[in-house]
Amino acid sequence: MSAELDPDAALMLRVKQGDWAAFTELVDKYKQPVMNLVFRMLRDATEAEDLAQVVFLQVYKSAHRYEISSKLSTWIFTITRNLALNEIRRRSRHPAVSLDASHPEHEDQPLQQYEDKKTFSPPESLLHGELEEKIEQALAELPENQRTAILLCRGDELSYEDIAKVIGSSLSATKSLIHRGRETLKNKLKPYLRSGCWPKPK
Amino acid sequence: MINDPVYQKLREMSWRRKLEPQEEALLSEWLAAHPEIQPDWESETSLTELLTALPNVPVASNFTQRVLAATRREASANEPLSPRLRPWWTRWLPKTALAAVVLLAGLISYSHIQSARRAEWAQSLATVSQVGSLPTPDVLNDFDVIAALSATPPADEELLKLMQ
Repeated sequence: MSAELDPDAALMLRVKQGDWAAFTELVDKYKQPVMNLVFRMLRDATEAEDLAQVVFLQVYKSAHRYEISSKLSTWIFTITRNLALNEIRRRSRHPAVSLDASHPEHEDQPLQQYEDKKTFSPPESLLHGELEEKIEQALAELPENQRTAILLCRGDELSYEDIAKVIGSSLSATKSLIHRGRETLKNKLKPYLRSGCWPKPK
Repeated sequence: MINDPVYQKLREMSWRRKLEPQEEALLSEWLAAHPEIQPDWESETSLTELLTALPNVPVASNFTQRVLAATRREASANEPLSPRLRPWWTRWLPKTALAAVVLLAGLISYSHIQSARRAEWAQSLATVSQVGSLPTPDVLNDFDVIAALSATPPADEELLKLMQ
């Protein structure tokens, strides 16, 4: 894969040379897929955004180590997955205490309400309510490697070989992970799959 | 029949992207021959559609700016200062350190040579002081006679026995 043929490699070459415009372009291009993956790994929008920021910081810091022969998206998703896994491990060692947890001394007082000032743009998809929630929940219940493989498989950005590199498994093991994950999802979402009421993709 | 390589290949392709018209035709042909697989295929396509339709996670509008600001901060924190901006003493520091090392090495060698020389002198003095306790040369007057005695042939043991 040469820089002339692959626009991503050319972009990364510019980043390596300290070109801020190229780095901005790279962030703009990959922020959405990185956020999608991180959010579905962590299940926390704020943490996902912070971690996505760290991903790009890491991309910039490690730019000198990037080899033009490897695919940029694979490299970025590998960094993303590793950082998300570190965060999951950190969380399991130091579980956060919920702010909503009741304190015996304040039990007679009403819970303080905090306004959610964050505004989200309207979802791009037609999926709403219960169905979307069920899919997200079913995905969240999958083992991490099956979930990541399925999420990376959603678009045609990555080949199965690329997904295998990100997951750190062989090609056949990766396909098997996707197959097993999909079988679990099919079983969990059976009523929705049979109803035929799912929206058409955009 | 679900493990048929043709079906498996088409299914795997459909997980990642929409099938091409010729692939669709091949699939229809294959499903016509294996109608029992039709429900499985339908659930596969439904699931693919559901997963594809999953909404994008909202990203803050200033996300890129925040990343750039954080990266710039990080980059400037790690960037070495230009020689002009560095304090004057830091420019001389490497040269001074090298000179100090050379000077220290010289001092150590000089001190080592000095102590070796002193030890040599002390040994010479000890040798000279021992000369005073040696016997006088008169003692050695009969040295040649005594030395010649040891060169005489051994005693004739048989003759000694006969004499006894």
